[in-house]
Amino acid sequence: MKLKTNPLLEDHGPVYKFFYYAGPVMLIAAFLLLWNSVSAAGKVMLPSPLEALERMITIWSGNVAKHPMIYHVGISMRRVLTALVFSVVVGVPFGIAMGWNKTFRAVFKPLFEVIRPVPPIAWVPLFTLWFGTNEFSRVAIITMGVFMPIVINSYSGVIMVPEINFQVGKVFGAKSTDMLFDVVLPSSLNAIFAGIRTALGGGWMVLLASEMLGAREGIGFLIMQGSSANDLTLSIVGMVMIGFFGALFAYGFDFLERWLCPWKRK
Amino acid sequence: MSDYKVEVRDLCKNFGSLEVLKNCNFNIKRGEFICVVGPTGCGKTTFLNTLTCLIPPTSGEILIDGEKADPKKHNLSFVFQEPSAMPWLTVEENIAFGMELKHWPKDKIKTQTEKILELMGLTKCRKQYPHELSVSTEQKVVIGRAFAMEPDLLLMDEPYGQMDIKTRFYLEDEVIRLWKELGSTVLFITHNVEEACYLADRVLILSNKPACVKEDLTLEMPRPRDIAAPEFIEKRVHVENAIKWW
Amino acid sequence: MLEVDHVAKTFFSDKGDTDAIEDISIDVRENEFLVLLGPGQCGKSTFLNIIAGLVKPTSGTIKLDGRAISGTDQRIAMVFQKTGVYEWKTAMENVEIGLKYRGVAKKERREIAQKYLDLVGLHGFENAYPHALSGGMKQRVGIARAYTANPEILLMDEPFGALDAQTRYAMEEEILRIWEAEKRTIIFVTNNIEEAVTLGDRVIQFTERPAKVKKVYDLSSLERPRSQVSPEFLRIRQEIAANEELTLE
Repeated sequence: MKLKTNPLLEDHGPVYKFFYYAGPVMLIAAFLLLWNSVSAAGKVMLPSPLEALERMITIWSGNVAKHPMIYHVGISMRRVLTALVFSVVVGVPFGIAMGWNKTFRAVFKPLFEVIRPVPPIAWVPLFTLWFGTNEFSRVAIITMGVFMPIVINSYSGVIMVPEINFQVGKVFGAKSTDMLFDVVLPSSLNAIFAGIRTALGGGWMVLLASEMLGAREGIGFLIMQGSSANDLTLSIVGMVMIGFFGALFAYGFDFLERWLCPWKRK
Repeated sequence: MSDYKVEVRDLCKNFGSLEVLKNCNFNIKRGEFICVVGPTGCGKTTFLNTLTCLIPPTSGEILIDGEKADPKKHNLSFVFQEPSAMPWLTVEENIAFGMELKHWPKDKIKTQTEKILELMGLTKCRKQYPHELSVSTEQKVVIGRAFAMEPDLLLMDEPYGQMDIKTRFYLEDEVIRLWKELGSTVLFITHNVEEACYLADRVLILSNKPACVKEDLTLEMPRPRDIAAPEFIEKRVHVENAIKWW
Repeated sequence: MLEVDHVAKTFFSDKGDTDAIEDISIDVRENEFLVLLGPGQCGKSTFLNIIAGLVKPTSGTIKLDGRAISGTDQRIAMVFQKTGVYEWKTAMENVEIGLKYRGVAKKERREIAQKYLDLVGLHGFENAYPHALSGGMKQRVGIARAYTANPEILLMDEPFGALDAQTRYAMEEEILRIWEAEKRTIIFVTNNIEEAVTLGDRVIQFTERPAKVKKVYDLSSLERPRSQVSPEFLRIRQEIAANEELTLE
């Protein structure tokens, strides 16, 4: 039978319970109040929460920087998704090959270990020089940030497959292809998804950095635009948008994982 | 002062609407060795956790020396299934650990540690670290540590569960020897009926969930006990039938 | 049926060589329940792995039905101590892998797998994932999986080692019931003397590492179903225990 009460609260009195629920609300309210008073004091350039909220609503009608808001959101999404799809399609098999095949690993891993520690943003000057400040350049930078964790995690997933899974396969007559697709792949899915999730998180960060690189649309661009045009409200709205869509993505991704892996513990 | 070391009255524990323990009633005399057996999944772990005040009971009371059980005041010692020796302490430091926690005088700690090391045959490896020892030796250290503190109640939860039979018999004899020498009050939980009959003065038989003490069986047999003796077999079969689900 | 002839195994490594098995020769009879008993770490699991084809012996031969075998063989299946059921497959999908990897058609292998799932008492759990199954149930999946592969010999490597005493008794009764219903040759490894005497037609007692055969006990005089408290049972159990060295592993 399902538990109807929160077990954490079982042994506490009403006062504790009050603070447990009211606490977060009060803290958020305090934060908003602080924000409001700082902005009202006028010493620092900060729009009030109300102004930010208002802008958040109005921004969806009419254009911002020559395009409707939805276009900016869409462009940013597209950049991240392109990098992600490429990284998954190329990176996952690459990582798996590194884990599965000793020769492949011996050849490619050292190069990987050399490139890996370089933060994606450090590639900006080089890419700008080679590709210019165009869309390809931007997506390439995001890819540098997204590709690495996906390959590393796919690789880890394969080498961490417990020995017993191999033993069972062997005893029951699994051939190499059976072993790879029936045993190694599902066994590594957990790690692969973890890699994609990490990559996504990092990807948003790199997106912003890349959009500050001569872009004319996108949420990152809007945030920069807001600061250079003394339109801080726009920046704040951009920040909230990124946070919101990032969370949406992560949530959708979790859903995808649960759908693809019905054997996971709920 | 009460006749009994430990008294448990009408102990109940619920998790939400799930009744795990219901009206557990039993007493333990000073210096008794009690074994608790029950069918798999009957709530033994919850039973143990409630007894040791790790989780509060839903109702009922647990008294030690006539007062409400309080982990800060009363000395409760544990041995679990997985050896839990402190990896950063040597064997003799491990044994001294509990006593040092309770701030015993230094010379008392020293004599007690020596006594335990001697009793358990651990003097040779006193300066070794747990990772250098075998699993059964490590468990011996943990048991020695638990007994050394002269606890009000020593609780053992399937300490020999994963060991092979010969090691088991050996450690069972060891724990009886320690118990006799130090006169501690011991509550030993096990799935193994033969082990329970071999060790205990009394066997508490738990029922299925919601668990209560179904039966309180006194085993008056001299130690060391012969597992092939007819009287032993009779008691063993009796307990097995009381919990048999397989 | 299975002849093991002077098998020995040494593990070579940079840190030094380990002799796991010194010299073992055994003849296994058809449809017998053979128990290999020995203290922990004595090499009996290695021995079983050699028969299964997972480990190559340093010397010695193994003959099945008169012909030498090396590597895995579809006539030999195994039940593992850690069960080794695939978390991402349902019970049914796990049980059928022996036939699947051999290319048997889906309909046919599902039928056979169902038969053995029923036999081990898991009817209704065909579509359950391992995370929803208890330890005992997972082990039963392992047993059904081994039977489904239609082997001549079933190897069992301390399959009940991780279970508590009572579940162990239950599983011992189960495996005997299954074996009576579908007779195969079983080679069962354990370190539990009581279990050995409960299950085996013959018990082969190994020494400590490096393993050799210490003694062979013929238990055919003990009638089945065996009572663990009969005087004869206890006598044999005590005898075997007396012969076993105490290794404080």
